[in-house]
Amino acid sequence: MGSNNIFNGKRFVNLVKQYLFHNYSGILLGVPVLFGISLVAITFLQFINGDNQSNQEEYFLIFVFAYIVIGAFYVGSAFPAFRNKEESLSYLMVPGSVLEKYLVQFIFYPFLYLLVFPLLYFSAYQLSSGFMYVVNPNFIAFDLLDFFQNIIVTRIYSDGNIISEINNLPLVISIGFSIAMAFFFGATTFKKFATLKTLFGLVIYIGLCIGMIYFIMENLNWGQYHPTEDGLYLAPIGSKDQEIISFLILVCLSFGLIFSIVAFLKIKEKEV
Amino acid sequence: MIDLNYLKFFHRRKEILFDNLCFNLKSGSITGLLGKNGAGKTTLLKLIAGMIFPKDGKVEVMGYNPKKREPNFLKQLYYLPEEFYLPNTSVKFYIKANAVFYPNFDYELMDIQMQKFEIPINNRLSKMSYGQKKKFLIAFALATKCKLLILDEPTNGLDIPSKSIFRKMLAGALSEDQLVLISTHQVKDVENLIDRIIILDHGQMIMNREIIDISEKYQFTTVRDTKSIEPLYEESGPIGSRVIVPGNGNSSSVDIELLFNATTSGIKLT
Repeated sequence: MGSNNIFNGKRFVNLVKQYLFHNYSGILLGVPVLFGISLVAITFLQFINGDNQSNQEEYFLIFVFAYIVIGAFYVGSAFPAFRNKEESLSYLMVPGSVLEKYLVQFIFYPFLYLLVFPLLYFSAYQLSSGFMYVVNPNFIAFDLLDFFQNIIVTRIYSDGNIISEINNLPLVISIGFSIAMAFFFGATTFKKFATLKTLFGLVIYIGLCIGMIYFIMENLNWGQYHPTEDGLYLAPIGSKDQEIISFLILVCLSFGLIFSIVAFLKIKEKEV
Repeated sequence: MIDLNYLKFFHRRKEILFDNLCFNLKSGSITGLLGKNGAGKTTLLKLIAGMIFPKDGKVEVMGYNPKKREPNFLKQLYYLPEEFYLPNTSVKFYIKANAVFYPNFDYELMDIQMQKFEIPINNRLSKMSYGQKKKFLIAFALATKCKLLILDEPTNGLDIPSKSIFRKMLAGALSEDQLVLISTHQVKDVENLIDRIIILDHGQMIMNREIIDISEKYQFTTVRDTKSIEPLYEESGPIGSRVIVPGNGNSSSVDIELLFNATTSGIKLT
């Protein structure tokens, strides 16, 4: 008797195991290499930046920059089987459903990266700071974790008092998800230079969107339109800060979900 | 087991490869799919395996539509392509990672076949030669005990002793509910192995017959002089002419190469 053709837990576990058996050397090598490079780069910067580094936000900027750049290349290299005809054949012939194969790649590429890279970078930063304290007792490190916790919450002040706090973490996660899924989609679509082609596509897409918004706002004078408070109840964005954030989260999630679905359909229709 | 009805396929719209191709194959057979380079053998195998999709017509394999690539279909089918991929892992890990997908996988048979092919179990696949990799995949394919085995040019890259081992292993490892479809242009390699022959030429199936049926109807022999007989087809050689003559009740073993050459040169063997 046959098992479920859409999703089967046992088969999914077997696919995960298969991925690990085939790629364990890459994973075992990749994690320490990423940690090591982060550690060396951070230690080098901490050495040359003087004793008091409490205000040096560059460590966070480096994190964001590296997170996006390395992430784009790593997630863009998902579905490595599709880069090669023989590997594609072998991959497509594995008795697993499209959903299971998709989820395996999702776990080992965008999901793993989005979780593991911050952990590696922050661990490397803490380790490097600890090392610097040992070699230089006057060293004052930039508090990366505290800085991150501060920027993740937007505080709205009135007369010097905090009147509301908005947690931006869901927005950050949804932006990360949508960007990752764009590159994940690129990995299923492009055979060669998937990351660069996706980047090029995104630049064109975002450029067109900005152009369209500019046209609407400037040439059609929508920018001059100031609705009354009563009229705003129809606006999808809303007027309050929390509503704007929620709207942006929704936009990013939708963007990511659309890319996820299209990526899924791409594998389903793949021919070798 | 395999039903093709009015199959139409093309890579480019102007160059139609298969047009209204129909045939069916039942289990319990080792079928040789022969054809010249570019005849469409690999394309046909890929259509059967669901790696490419027909433009029109119907392909049904074991009751499934291959295009859907359902796991219950894929676990009953093993496709060994001519050019294959093996990950950078050990033989042991590869078997551990992949055998679980095939419910009838025979680990004992895999060990025996690896010994026959002299494949060391602790070797990394990436360190093996092309021929060794191919032998490993042939052993794996047979051990899966899949109902349908598709082997595309399996003897390419094998040395002479390995070709002989391959023939013996294939003949010995199969059961009645299995069908093996072997595509090759090296017709000598599948002689005395296949029990059915399909010949493709320019996308057309010009022959689909059982070997026993051919051997009963025709005689394949070598003669010094063809004047006294009226051969249906002849090929001159250094020691005489290889000929196909009507059997007239006498059966002989089929010279696949001669049969192939005769058929592809337009001789109709009814």
